[in-house]
Amino acid sequence: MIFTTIILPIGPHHPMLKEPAFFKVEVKGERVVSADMKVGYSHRGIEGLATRKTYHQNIFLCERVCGICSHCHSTCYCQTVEDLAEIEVPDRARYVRTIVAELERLHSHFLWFGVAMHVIGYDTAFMYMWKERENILQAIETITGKRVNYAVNTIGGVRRDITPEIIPYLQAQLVKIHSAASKIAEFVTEDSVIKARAKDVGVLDKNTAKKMCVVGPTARASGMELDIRKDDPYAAYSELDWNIVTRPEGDVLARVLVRLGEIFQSINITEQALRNLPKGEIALGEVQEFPTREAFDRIEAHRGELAYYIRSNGTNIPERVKIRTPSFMNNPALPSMLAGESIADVLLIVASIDPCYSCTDRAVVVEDTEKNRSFTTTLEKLARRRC
Amino acid sequence: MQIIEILFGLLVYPGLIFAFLIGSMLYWLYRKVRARFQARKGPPWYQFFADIIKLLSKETIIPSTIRKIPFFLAPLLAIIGCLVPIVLLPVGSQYATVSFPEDLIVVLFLLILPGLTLIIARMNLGSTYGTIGAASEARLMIAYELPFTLSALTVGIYARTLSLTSIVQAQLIRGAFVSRYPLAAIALMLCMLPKMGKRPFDIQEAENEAITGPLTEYSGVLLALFEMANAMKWFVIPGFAVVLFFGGSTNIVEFLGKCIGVTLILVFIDIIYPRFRVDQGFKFLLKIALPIAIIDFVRVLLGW
Repeated sequence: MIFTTIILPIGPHHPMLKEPAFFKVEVKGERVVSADMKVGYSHRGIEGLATRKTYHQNIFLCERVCGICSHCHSTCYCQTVEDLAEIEVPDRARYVRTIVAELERLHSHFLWFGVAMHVIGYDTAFMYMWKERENILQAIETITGKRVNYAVNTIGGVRRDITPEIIPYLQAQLVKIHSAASKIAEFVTEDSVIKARAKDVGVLDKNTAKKMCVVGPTARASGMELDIRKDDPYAAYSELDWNIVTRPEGDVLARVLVRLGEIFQSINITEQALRNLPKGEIALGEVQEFPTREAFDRIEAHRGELAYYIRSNGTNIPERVKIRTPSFMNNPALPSMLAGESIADVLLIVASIDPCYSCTDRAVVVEDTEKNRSFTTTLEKLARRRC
Repeated sequence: MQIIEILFGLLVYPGLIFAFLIGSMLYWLYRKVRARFQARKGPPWYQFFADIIKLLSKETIIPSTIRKIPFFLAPLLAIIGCLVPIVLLPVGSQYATVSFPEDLIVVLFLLILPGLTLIIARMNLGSTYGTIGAASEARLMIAYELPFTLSALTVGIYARTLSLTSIVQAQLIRGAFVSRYPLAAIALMLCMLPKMGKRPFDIQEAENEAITGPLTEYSGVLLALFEMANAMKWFVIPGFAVVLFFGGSTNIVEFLGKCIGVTLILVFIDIIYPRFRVDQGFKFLLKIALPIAIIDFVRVLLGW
């Protein structure tokens, strides 16, 4: 039977997309021939706003770049500013940052598992995942006082300490989380329908993955041993014993299993960090001096490498804050994963890289020195103006 | 007198009102059991009626781009496809309200209607989404109607009758046919899942895969009619299985008990499985449900 190709638009509004994004999928029968994606529906101007606020106000702002990886953003921002001001964070603060970061990674991975199960119609598993995720959120709430946007970081340390009284409670919660994760491992590795849905779907081989510069679990599922926590250790990761989880297959199932492995590694890291928590101060005094220079730092967020670049001009307001989120690297790999798959799998593949759209939106501001005005435009229009 | 009896059967017992009440209760049972198994609280018993009343009070929006006749016909056909089989089924007694020698065939045809109307509703969306959704649903329908019909005919051939009343009477003498032809019963139960739109074959309700549900353009009264047909499906399809394989019954309590039993089996399967992709569901039905239906069909032809 001969099919003509038709264009199937998915988005910008779609029941399965949590944020606006547009997928232009060209289909032939039930197969995807090619795909294209467009983001840019929820630009928030955070980078621009960051150049109008002081360094301390920006902690608050950067924490709100993403709701799920809020601690990652504030950690990365604070580390970059600490590099800029050349200050060393106290040991105890580094451990507290590690513990909160790993608990946040756990909650993010549990959340992602739930969403992935919902996409393949396994609502029972979805409900149980999110129920177990409550344990993690309670642990985070005990440490920081909040369930999201923890506000635990500050330049030169952390704002709240882990007191000896709550450590037994956190360890008990970790045991609960571990048993829940074991349950997940059991059904993910044994359920035949999950395997049928996820195996050999959305394959991203190692070469393409390298070419597309994917990061985080997406890269590790394609066989690349890539983890900033090992490659460029920050916080307390170099002092703890843990492994990078990789899978060679590069399909959706591999991405599921990599995240599953990371859940166990995160539990392990948190347990060690709680056991080896050093004594001492949790923060330095308020940092006032920001010399004129630039700084760059990166951390491993839940979706991959997150990088911040800050340039200062000697005042207490940064001249430029550049954020490069992991989804910015992972999203462009989607079209090559989608080609050749069934339409029913499109959203599963999209969900498998745990995409985030609004944090990848950027606007181009052009400053016209002749007419003394500035305006926003797109790169395509700029290219047209040149010729 | 007979006309009044038939009208009473069609509209009150065991037709419209009775089937709607029992069907919505079985639907509530499904939602409640499912919620409890998923560590949720679940809806109260009157939730479905509240939904229907709300829908009836809402404005019915008729999109300007839509073909009017199939748009109005689809929910009505869905209701008819659930209502008429109930009159032909011997509900709660050995005798159906209306009975004639070939009513098994008629019921089999009418039970196609609820699925078919969803395809009509989808085709009528007038968009690419609708066409793709309808195509995959039609594909699945081919896979489940064949074993469904074969299993039903197995019973008919064994009882040497195509009348549902005689099938029930034969079972009262010889025992429930599920013990004689268990494979055909399993095939029928498997095909009931896609017929009711339940996991692992709930492709018709999977809005995240087929991009849009069949009822996207429906609102108000027409959507309420679809929902009512959906509730009646919860009574008529398990009821059909009870009549064919689980011995029917001589009183209504026993009949409803058996219906609840069949419903619970479907609910448990729905809870513990994720969703198949359309092609996987198609293959599963043709590889598992069809062969076991054929085995029992051959057995009954050879008289084993």
